[in-house]
Amino acid sequence: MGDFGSFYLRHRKELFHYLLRMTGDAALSEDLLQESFTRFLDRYGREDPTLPLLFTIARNALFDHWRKRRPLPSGDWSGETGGENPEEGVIVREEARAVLRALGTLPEDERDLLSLAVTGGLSYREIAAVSGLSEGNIKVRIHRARRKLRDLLREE
Amino acid sequence: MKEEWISQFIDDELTLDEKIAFVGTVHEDGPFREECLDLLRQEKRLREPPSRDVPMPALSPRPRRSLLSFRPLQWALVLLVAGVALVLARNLSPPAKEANVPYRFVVYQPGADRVEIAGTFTGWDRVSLKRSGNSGYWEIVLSLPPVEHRYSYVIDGERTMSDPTVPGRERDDFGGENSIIPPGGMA
Repeated sequence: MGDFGSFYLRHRKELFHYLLRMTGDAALSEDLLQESFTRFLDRYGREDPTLPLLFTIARNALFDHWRKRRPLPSGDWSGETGGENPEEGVIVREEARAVLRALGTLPEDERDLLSLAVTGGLSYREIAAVSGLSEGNIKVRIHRARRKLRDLLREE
Repeated sequence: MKEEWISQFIDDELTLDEKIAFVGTVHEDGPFREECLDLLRQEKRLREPPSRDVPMPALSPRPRRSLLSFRPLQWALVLLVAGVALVLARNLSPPAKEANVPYRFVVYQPGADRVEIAGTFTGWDRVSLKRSGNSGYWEIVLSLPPVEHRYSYVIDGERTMSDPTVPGRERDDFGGENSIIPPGGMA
């Protein structure tokens, strides 16, 4: 499969877990995973793929989806797998559901930045490039998100 | 002391000078130390992959066109073609379904820890091959319909390769190659 094939195999897991942390919905994350790589190929071809560009495209795909679907029901963040039949799709780990639920209650921008940081592979500088924020802003917001998450998980 | 240093430490974003100051503060400041430990323990939970499985959707770089973007003339053409197809389908009896036949896939990869196969017959999901003793060969026998199949091997979950024993190849969407077995298998 060449460079892009290796890139796809190496990073689809990180991207899928970023999307799962952002949406809490495995079926939607799978659709967005496919959409992200497809958009990448359509717009940039297979030469020299980069992780920040992939995440930029994935975030745009996710925000496009949300713009069409807004408003999200506030209590819909169960961390359950998507689809009618969980046996047919990706199963969200039982122990991860509390974390996903807590992430789902964070403000969207903080959930986004923290998910980008913990999903792996992106430095603060790259997250700044992906999000359009300054590195200084990234540091503050990521730490604020971690502290909020700790408080939320304590309440579980 | 900058509180954000805890997150920068977790994310490996501290400079060397900041690391020195950070470690000093951890030694001297009990509440700061406790917060570091709290957030580090949380980080372990947070970084656990939320799912064991990760889907491997088939990808296409071809631009997709929505039917909604068709003009009236194009819609008329689509309806005409659909109508002709419907008439033809009614007049043709369905082809007899041919029985599956065993296909044996073998590849020599003595240095690999894991070898998988992904192809049209698996929906491009990966299926593991079994190591054949200490020979360096990996193999699997699959029962497949006698139609054309396209596939490649995935070595240690990272590297892909076409089947060196099969002459039929095609460039895939990612700049690599898939192997092609014609209907009925290799002669």
